[in-house]
Amino acid sequence: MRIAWHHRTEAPIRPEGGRTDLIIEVEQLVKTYRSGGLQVQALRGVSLTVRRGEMLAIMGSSGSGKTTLLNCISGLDDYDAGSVRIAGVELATLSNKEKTTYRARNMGFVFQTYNLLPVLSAVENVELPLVVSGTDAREARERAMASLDRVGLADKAGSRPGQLSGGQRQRVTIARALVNEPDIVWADEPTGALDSRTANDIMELLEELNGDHGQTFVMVTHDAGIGARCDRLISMTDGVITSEESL
Amino acid sequence: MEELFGIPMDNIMLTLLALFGVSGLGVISIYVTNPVMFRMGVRNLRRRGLQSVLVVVGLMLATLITTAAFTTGDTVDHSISRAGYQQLQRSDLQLNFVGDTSMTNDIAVYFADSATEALDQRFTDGKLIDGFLPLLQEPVAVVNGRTGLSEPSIVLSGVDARRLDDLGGLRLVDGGTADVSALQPDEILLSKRAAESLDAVAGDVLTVSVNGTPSTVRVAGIVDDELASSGSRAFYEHGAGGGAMLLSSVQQMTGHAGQINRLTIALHGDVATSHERSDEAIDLIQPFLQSPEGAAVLGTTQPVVVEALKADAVAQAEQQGNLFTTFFLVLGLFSIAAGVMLIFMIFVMLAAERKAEIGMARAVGAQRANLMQSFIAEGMVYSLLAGAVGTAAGVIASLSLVSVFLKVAGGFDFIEPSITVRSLVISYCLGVVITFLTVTVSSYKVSRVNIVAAIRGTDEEPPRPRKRQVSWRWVAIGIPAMIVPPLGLWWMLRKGFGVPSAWVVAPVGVALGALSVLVADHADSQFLFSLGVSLVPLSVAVLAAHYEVSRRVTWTLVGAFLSAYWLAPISYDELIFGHALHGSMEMFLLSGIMVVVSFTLMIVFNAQLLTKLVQRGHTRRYTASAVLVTMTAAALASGFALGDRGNGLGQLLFLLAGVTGIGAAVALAAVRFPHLAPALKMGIAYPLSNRFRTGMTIAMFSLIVFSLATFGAINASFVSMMSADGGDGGWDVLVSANRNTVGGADLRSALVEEDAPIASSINAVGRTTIFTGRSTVRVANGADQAVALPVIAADDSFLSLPQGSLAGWANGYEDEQAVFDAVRTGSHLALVDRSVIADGFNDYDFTLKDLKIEDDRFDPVQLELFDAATGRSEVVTVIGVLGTQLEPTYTTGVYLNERDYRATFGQPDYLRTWVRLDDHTDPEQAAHAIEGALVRRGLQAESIDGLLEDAAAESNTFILMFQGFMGLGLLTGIAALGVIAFRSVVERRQQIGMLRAIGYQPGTVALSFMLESGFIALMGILSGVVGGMVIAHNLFSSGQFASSGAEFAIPWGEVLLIAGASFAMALLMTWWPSRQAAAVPVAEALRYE
Repeated sequence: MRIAWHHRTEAPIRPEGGRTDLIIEVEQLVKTYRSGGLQVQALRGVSLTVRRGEMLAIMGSSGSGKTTLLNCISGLDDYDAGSVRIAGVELATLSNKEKTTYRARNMGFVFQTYNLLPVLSAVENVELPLVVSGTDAREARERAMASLDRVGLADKAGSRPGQLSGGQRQRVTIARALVNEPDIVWADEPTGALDSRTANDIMELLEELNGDHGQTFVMVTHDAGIGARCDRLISMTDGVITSEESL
Repeated sequence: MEELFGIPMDNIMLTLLALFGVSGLGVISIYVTNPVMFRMGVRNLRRRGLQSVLVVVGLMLATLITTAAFTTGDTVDHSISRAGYQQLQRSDLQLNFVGDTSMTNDIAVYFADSATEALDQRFTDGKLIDGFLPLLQEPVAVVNGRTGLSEPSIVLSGVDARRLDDLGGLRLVDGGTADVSALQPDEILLSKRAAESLDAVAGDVLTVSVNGTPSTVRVAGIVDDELASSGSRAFYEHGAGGGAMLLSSVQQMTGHAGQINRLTIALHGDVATSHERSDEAIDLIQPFLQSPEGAAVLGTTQPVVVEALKADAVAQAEQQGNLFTTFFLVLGLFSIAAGVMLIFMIFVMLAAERKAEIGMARAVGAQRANLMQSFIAEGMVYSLLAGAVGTAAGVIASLSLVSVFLKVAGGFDFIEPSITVRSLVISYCLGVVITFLTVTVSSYKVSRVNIVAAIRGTDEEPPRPRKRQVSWRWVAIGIPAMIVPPLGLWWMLRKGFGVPSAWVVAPVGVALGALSVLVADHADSQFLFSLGVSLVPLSVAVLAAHYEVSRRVTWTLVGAFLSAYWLAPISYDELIFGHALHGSMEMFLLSGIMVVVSFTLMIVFNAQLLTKLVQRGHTRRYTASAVLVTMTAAALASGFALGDRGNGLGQLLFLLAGVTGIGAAVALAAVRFPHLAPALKMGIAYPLSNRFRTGMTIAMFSLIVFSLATFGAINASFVSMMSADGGDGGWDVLVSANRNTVGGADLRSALVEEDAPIASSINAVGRTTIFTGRSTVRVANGADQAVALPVIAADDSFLSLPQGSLAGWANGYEDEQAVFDAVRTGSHLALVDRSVIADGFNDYDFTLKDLKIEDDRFDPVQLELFDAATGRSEVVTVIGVLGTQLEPTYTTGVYLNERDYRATFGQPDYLRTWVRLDDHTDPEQAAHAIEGALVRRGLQAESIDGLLEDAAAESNTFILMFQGFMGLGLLTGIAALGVIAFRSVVERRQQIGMLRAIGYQPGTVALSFMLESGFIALMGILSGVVGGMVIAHNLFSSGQFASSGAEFAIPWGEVLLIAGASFAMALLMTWWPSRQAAAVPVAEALRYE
């Protein structure tokens, strides 16, 4: 059964100041990891902006700070200095609980290792963000089905992650990331665990979703081919942005 | 305690020390031959301190249980022995003219006190025998003139002052020894118990009445209760104490000039060890006493034996201590079994955590045996630590249990803690060996890994079937190993011929099961029959699993079969063999294990059904709740409709309503609070995704709760029976007389003579005799030896009891009235009390195994009664069973009418009078009034309700202690949940990170972990409670207690307390790891591998 894509009826938490073109504004972001007596400066004053609807790739070698940057600007991790504004909201001013709620309503995440709950079916995994943000059960299920339909997996709604291929699992993850129609989708190596053909399929899907709905995609990758398919590409080395390229 | 299960404790200790040594040598050899693996294992202990602590706590529980069992046994043994020494002092032996004295202290035979001097001269040598102590002990009534308090029956003990002083004298309660020789003829050394009941102090003047004749005596001092001061032989004799006077004074007061009725013998040595030479002394003295010369010395023709008074008391103490230890160990087996499961689980989980390391070690060339060595080394260190902690904790637990339940709640003041090195060594070694063996087996399991999957952390693929190859080496090893058949078979068939494990296990299991069933009849063993019936389907299921038949279907069917077998109130052995097989405590254990196995299998293989409860459907989202609410209402309505009928079936329906009610509440919560639904579903789904781990934990909880609940129900059923109609046997007050009372045979007249108003409140009075010590009984035409059992004469009034006084009557008699009429007016007809029926775990010397009461009816049984004094015998037919629930001390025996009794046993001496009051009189107050009116006559009155309450309170004390002990096992289940919860947080760190990333608040993450533990605990608790209650119900409706007359009763308060406390503790244990889960840093968790 195909279920029509429903647009969200409930407005997400919106920042004060109304809609601007820039959805992410990062200034002089510093993050240092401390382990024992050792200090590792993962981000050394990173500044960047991302436009609404843009598809941005962050590239860099292992240890360059790209995942740390993504974690800090998505609110998953705290930073030591600098500022991050998402749609005009300064993340540092939000409490932990508010950040969590903000993520649930306005952000979607795609991880390299899928991170699906193995004991829940595909549709149950997809509807999780809606359920925690208090969406009505029936509506949550319908939207989850619609989201799965968007990624071409409506027929696998009842399957458990263990019964799906790697590509299908990543599609479920994408469906989950999109189900609450977030302003921003964060993707950390979304194709890292996939073969090249499946990776290509996934990228096509992301491009299509970005094109159709104008959602902002921030993607961390070390694959130049993937990076080249985005609107803009920034490269990082040792915690600083070393180059920026519009494609 | 010298023996356990018939095996000398020294042998047990040496065997365990040897096994401990072998285990230790094994580990030392690992250290010597492969120090790297040894270090790799041992260093793991320091890696996660908290987890190591938890592991030690988990591993120590089996040791804790065994230590507590042994220490309790030691304490009981030591305390009873010590009490025996204190009561008997230098009286090691005594002359017995009475016969069996186990049920009576009221029969006296008098003989010349000159015998003492003659025996003294003949036998006292200061090497084996230190002296003889003559006593004249008589029950008398006493009033304290100063306080006005009175006692109708204390023991006046006439002592030979010189001899008593020579043998140590009497101990003053304030310390020191009383100078008995300094006693004046009118002075008494009152025993502590008598002094307390009379509120007497030195200097008080007492009036002593013997046969109604008063004398005045002055209290010279207060001494301890012992044989010489109060006739008290053992701690359990609850008499009112007594007092010692000069022998000549007592002889004069009681009219027994020149006579004594007790002669004890002091052996050489101290109080605690002199009895060890009892046999030697008896062999020396008894032949003489039984010779004509001896009879002349004693001046009596009564047959006499020399009784090993103190040695018997010590043996009894040993027996009691042994009983406690055995009982605790048997009950503790549930906990020990759960503890073994926990050890296994802990090591499987430790291995799972180190899977990558194990894979890496294998990749670089470590053999599987090397990994086992590493685990065994680690396990041994854990075992040694856990053994020490467990032993210490067991001692503390035991001392707490004994102090709280026996000493404080039970009032057993004589209890004194005792710990023996031998018991500690046994407990420690047993704990270490059990842990070590379990670790070795689990090491074998966990060392088998797929190297690539282990390193990458991916799921393991099932091992590919290997081509079967014969290993003649293993065949050769297996043949001699057949001395231990399971090991030999495994090595030969599995390792040698490469036979699939299922084809080794299943045929052996089926063969063993079939063999057990076949020999069960011959061995008269219900245990073997039931074990066999249970083994067969389990074994077949192993084979089915090998051929990949649906595991869910297979194991669900096995679970259903086992449930049907164990829980249906059907005696399958009786159906097959035509008669019920014998079963005892071991059936309790087996039934518990099998019921738990069956429930656990059904739960873990039917996850889908349970998750439906919290499934958020769209159009039928209230369906599950509605169905469950309807079921709850139906069960409640049926329970109320059934009422008291069906032997407690209604209560089981209420229990079912409780279970479905919980399900309905969960389903409703999932619908009403949809944001909780995923947490609820994960709470069920995650545990069920690892059936082994979850099943083990559910089984642990279930086993312990099963044992607690079953015990609680059995106790509640018996206690409710005591307070039920008919429990009092149709009487309100028991009045006891003795040989020195006046008017004991005619209570009404005595009360009228004393102008006691209570006389007008008495509706009926019945009289019975007491045990003479000389009657023996056996089933007529049977091959068994006759054993001592009271034969009691009952007067016509006693044999006119109201309806409801009988627990059952013989077929052929219309009703109870017909039975009483027949016994009263007929001849050779008898009643028995309930204690002589084989029932429950009744372990008296004499039981009527063939008397089975069904629907209040039974087939009459013939008994042959003997009187050792007259040599006469009589055959009687038992046609009724008295329903009284009084302790057997008051009621046990065969009841005859007066004519039949006189024909065989002579003139009855009615010393017990049973009183029925009018409806408006309170029995307790009536007993006080009767005793108050007749105290000078020496009559003692007790309310029967009061006696029943005392018995129930005593039963409760022991049951509570047993439950407290078994409750220790709950720690096992709770520790298991803690281990699982900690482990889950580590295992699912990335998933926690993801949940937090997509918007789960920390509280919701914590809640989902709590729900998981809650689900496991709830399943274990519910299955344990339901299984325990159904088994208890069956015991009372058709099982071992069916003839007891007790109605099954669920102790609701206790069940709720057990279930609630277990659940709360389980959640508490998970609270910490849940908080850890909630506090996981999101970004760090998402990186975690």
